Amino acid sequence: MASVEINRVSLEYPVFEMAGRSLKVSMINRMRGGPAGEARVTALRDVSLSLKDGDRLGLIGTNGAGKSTLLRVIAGVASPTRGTVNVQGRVISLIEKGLGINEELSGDANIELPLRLLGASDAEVAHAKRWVPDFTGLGDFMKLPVRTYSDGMKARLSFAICTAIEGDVLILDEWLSAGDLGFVEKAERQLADVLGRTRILVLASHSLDLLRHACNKIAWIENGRLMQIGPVDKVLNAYIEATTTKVA
Amino acid sequence: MFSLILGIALLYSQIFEQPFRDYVIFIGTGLLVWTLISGLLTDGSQAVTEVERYLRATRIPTTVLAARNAYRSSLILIHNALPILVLILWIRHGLPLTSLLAIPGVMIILVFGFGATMVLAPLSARFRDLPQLIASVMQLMFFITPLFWRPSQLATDHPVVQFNPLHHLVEIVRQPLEGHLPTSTNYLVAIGVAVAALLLGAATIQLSRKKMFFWL
Repeated sequence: MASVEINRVSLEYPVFEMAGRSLKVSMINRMRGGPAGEARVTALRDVSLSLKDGDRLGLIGTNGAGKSTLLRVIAGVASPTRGTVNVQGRVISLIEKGLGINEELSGDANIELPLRLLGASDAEVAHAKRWVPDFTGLGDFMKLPVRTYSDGMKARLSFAICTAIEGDVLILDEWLSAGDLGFVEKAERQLADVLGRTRILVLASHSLDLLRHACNKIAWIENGRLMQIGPVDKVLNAYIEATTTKVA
Repeated sequence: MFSLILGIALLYSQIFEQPFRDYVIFIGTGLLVWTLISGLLTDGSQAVTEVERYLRATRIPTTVLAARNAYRSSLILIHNALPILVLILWIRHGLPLTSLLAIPGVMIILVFGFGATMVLAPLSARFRDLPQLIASVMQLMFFITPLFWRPSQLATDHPVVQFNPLHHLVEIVRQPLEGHLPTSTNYLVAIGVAVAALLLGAATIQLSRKKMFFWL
């Protein structure tokens, strides 16, 4: 049984200017009795939501609305300023693309570190080392440095690595890209397979089609506030209406 | 590093009118320990910022990053130690029995480095000029700490020697390799700073845990 409970979460963070990042300048300012001089940005305001097994939540909102911040809060990477976050189950967060891939190393040597960063066990790494070369069909290229790969081949490799591990809660920032056409079908099947076994999905995306296709619940975030959460069509329509009237 | 040691030993044994054979061992073992200590501190201050990209997407405990730094430094130490050990074998026709004491000495330094990394790495993420500051302090310490000159040349109880914790850290490895026993003061100070580094490290982690994400 997996669950995500977010209770009245707010998150503020300081924005440092160049000078604010310097110890020397900060000390001199402090000695002069000047202000600490840091601007604060509020990324999330009083957000509450609760997810249980079977929930496929899509996050929508304009750029800078706080979608990625919310994903990072659920993933446990960022701690909220106020409020509580309680996540039950194993969280796999695919927030940054190509995380842990060292371009100078061969494809084979690049399987372990990305998986370990996602929290893989010995058994999962061992399994991935057998499965990834097979699934990607990269063959002898697995012995060559990743920097010699084409973009499509890199996409295949990182797609395979990301889906070689399973969790209860899957956090996705944008959809996993699948690479070239010959691979898409295989990748779609694998993704459907992984999603089928994932209990909770949280996906941030700008693609309405994708959200309609993959989610059964939508949360609309604007300016760090949760505007609406509910059934896909209802929230998406409200979002479309709001954004189009703003443009018009 | 080996050519550096030979070169310096040749020059300074003349300047200080020291017998070359003893002096080259003194310089060699001293620089060996110094490279370990300064590597731990300067690389340690970068331990968080060098994996910044990872930390924005996943959680890695600062203790893991500090352990990684200590591990890397100990590999570099082993690599550097080989020619020095050969040098001692060649000059002395054998390693002094006290050399065994160098091993716990290295352990104490690694514990110190592990703790210091837990302090310096998060702070260096917040204050980006800290690594440069540490590098220049270490450069000063390189000349203040008795590495080229023997403490006895200055007066062993001179404050520059006595109150320099790095000197005691150097002594607990250098003295055994030279065939002497470190003093109990050496050990007390060395263990003291290692424990202090661990405690400060634990405190820094506690204070920075929630904030570190915003410093990246």
